[in-house]
Amino acid sequence: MDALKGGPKLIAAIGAGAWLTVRAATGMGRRIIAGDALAQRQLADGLPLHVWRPLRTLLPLAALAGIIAGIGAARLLALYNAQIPVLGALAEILLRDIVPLLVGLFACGSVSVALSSRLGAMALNREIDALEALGRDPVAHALGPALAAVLLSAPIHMLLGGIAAVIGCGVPLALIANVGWPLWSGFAFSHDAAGAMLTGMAKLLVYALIAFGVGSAVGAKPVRSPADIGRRATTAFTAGLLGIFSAAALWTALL
Amino acid sequence: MSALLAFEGVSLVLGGTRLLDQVDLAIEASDRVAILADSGAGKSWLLRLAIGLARPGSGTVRLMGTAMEDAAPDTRRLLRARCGVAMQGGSLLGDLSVEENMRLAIGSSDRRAGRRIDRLLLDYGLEQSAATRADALSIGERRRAELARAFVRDPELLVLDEPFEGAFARADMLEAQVRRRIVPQGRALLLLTQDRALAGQLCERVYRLERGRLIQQDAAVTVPDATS
Repeated sequence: MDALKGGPKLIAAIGAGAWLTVRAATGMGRRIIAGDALAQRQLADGLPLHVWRPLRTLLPLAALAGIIAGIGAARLLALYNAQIPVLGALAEILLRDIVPLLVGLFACGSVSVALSSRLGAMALNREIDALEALGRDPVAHALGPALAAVLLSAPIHMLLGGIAAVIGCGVPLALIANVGWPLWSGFAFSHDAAGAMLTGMAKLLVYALIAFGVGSAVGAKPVRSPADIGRRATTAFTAGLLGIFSAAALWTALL
Repeated sequence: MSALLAFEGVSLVLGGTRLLDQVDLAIEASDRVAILADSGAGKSWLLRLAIGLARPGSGTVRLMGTAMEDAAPDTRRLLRARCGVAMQGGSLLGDLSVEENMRLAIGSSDRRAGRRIDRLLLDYGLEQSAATRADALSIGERRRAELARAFVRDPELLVLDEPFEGAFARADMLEAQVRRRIVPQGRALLLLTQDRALAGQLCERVYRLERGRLIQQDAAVTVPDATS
């Protein structure tokens, strides 16, 4: 892949990411069906890393994003006093676009960097070679549990991040525009907002898969020294950002 | 009878250096072969080629009669699973415990496998470290765990690259363990080492890798000197 440049290199990288993701999914599926106790233990280890630990940062971030959006909406309401369209649009854009993108960016930072670093460290420590030497598929072993944890994390992060953003948004609405919680929650937890939340979850799933694919494709490149691991992590982060923003723009434009 | 491991005219050039030059070698069941080489001469590449982790520049490597470069990845893994491998510097999976490393190698979680693992851990003095993560082990413990893992699947062929490096005080014990598990059970061994005495003690055939070629050594040259 290193010999390629420009478009062909990008296509090769996307192909490698997709191929690794599919192999990780099928390999992990096989391990779970076979009752592999090690796979279950690895998944149990991956859940805190990819699901619970990020919440400590993610929830305050979502609440802050909600506060920022709420301040903007409150200023708009102070000017036009058009509560129904403004609050309806705010709830929808918050849950359909802002929170998924925020959580997606976070996933990019944590998943792609963590994966590329882990694969790099495994390669340096000859752990990938060891798995091959033991007759095991390194993709299923090294990436499978992480993929399962990342896929499980997407709906949980979206749901909790959405709630934190809605609560954060309610504070400036109440303080600046005098919009009470019952009124705002009526919009934020309406049928339309639930639909927006589901769309947000679908988007986040796509973003998480992009972050996973980028992290695994970058991490799978040969590593010659520990310094390479840091460089790869930076590449994974920036490439993941680009991938997630491109997908977000495409989704918004087409759907 | 086809050889368990065969190098047929294998050459390998890396970074402008010819590491292997038309190497021919056949290891059949019960053969114990050592290859002596200085550091950087290409011993670890021989291991990688032997189990299909690297492709030769030219020539063919056959493991259990199958040409590794033509075999599908799953076939290569199945063939490797019939070998016991210890890599130079160790290759335990750091985030798994010693016992999990062994279970990963044996690929089974039944009681029989558990008993086999327990016995190997006891033989290699690792019974107290079974639940310890591999990355928390000392260098000597890692080496012993790596060797124990190499034997856990009852391999037909052992490929050991500097197996006692870093084992220090326990090297003699390890050597006796390895000898006990290879010689009476008729397993084939490819030993890659710089240690001439070790090669003479464990193996019947000893080669020296010089300028990419294998040169067979006189047995008398490799037998350890009794007076030293």
